[in-house]
Amino acid sequence: MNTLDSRFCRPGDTFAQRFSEPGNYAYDFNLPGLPPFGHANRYSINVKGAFDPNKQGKQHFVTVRREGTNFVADPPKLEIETGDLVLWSTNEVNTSGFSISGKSETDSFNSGDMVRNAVYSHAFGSPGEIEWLDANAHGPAGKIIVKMPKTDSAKDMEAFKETLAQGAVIIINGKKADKTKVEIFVGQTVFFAVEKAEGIAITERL
Amino acid sequence: MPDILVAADEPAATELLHDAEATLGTLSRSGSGSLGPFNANWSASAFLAGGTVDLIAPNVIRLANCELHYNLHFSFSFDLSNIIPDFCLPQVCIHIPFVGTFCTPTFCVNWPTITIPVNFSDVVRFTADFSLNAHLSGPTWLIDAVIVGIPNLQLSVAAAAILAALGVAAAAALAVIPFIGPLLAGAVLAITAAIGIAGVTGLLGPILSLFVAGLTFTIYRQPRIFNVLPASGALDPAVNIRLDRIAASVSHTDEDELLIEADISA
Repeated sequence: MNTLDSRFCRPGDTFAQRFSEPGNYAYDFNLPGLPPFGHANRYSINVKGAFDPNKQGKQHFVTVRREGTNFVADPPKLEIETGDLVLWSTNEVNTSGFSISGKSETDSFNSGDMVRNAVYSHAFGSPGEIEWLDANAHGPAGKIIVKMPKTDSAKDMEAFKETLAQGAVIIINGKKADKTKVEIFVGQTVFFAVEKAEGIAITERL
Repeated sequence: MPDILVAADEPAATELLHDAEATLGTLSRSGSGSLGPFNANWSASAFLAGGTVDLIAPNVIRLANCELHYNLHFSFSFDLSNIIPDFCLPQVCIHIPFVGTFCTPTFCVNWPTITIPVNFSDVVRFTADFSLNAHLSGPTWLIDAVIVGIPNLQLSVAAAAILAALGVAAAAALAVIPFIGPLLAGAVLAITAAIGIAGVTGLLGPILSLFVAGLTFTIYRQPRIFNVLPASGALDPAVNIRLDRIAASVSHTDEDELLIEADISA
C-alpha cells in the first residue's frame, strides 16, 4: 500500500511537528475518529524553554513499529526545546496505517487534523496523476503528477537516484495551498507543510 | 487360416486412429516441477487430434504429424529481493520557513514475495510409432495401439513463446509494487534470464511427456461373446458366437494393411 493519507501513515510517509509552546505533550497512535490503540497517551514529549522563531531547532526522530495489536514509539519519551521538530516514521511494510495525535494542557497536534507548524510527507511509489485534497473539507487541494523516470542506462539510473534526494514542498496556509500542481518522478517525496489552518488531513481524491 | 480376417488400408486405419483419439478425450494432469531456479506448480490439459497413419509390417503403426493440443497453467513464487537489489529512498532534506530545515530518514524498500501466474495454450506435432496389442480385458477383446518409447517433442518455439508470456505476466505482477517502476524492466529481464529457454523447456518437456508416454489408443473393441441371433421363443434360444482368439498385425502385400484375425466357436 502506498496511499496518500496523513491519517494512515505507512512506510514512505512521515509526520513532523514543530513545537512552539512549552508543555508536556502526551500522545498516541490511532485511527481517525476512533480511540487510540491500546492504552491511550502512552508516549510523551516534554517541551521546555521559551520559543524563538528565528532559532533553528533540533530534529528528533521517532520510529514507529508494530508489536501485536499496538503501535510502539521508539523512543517513547522525548525531552526537547521549543522550536525543535519531532518526526515520526515507520519502516514496517506490513504495518497498517496510523495517525499520531497528542496534547498538552494548552496545545495539541494531530497528523489527521494538522493545524500549525506540521508537515506530512509522502514518497510516491507509482506513476500517475493524483488529485489531493483536505479530507476535512477546509479547501486546499491540488494535483501531483508522478512521472516514470528514464532508466534505460546506468547513467539514467544514477541521475534518477540523485533526483530522489530532492523533494517538493506544498505550503498550506488557511484554505489555500501555494501550488496547485507539482510534477515529480516515482520515488520522490512531496512535503505538505501546514503553516496555519483549521485542521488539515491530506488525502487522495478517490 | 483364421475364421475371420478383416483388413484395413492406411486411410481406414487413419480413421480408426482418429476415432480412438476422439474417444480418448481431454486428459488432465497437475503437479510441480522446476522452472529454472524456481519451483512451479502447474496444471495442464491436453487432447490429441489428427495425424496420418503409415502401416509398417509386421507390427508398427506410425502416426505422423499427430497434434497434441495443450493448455498449461503454472505459477511460481519467489522473494523478489533475491532477484533485484534493494532499493532505498535516500534522506530528503528540505527547508520550510516556519519549520526550519529537517530531513526524512532513509527508507529502504523491502521487496515482497510475489507469485507470477502464466497461462499458455499451443499445439505441438509429433510422429510416433505404435505397436499392436490384442488382449482380452474381462469379457471384451481389445486391440490397442501402444506408443513405442517417448516421441521427440519440438518445444523450442513454444518455450520461447512461454518465456515471452512469462515476461508479460511478470511485468503485470510487479507493476503493482510501489517504487518498482524504475526497476521494472530490469526486474523482468532478470526473472526471464534466470529461467531462460532451458528452464521453460525443463518444465514443459516433462509435462507434455506425461500426455504421450505410454499413450494407448484402443482401436478395436469387441465383446468376447456376441449375439448372432436373438432368442425367438422358449424353444429357440439365442445363438451366440465366442471369439476365442483375436490377433492384429500389419501386412505388406500389394499395399500395407492392418489385419485383424479372429477364431470363433459356438
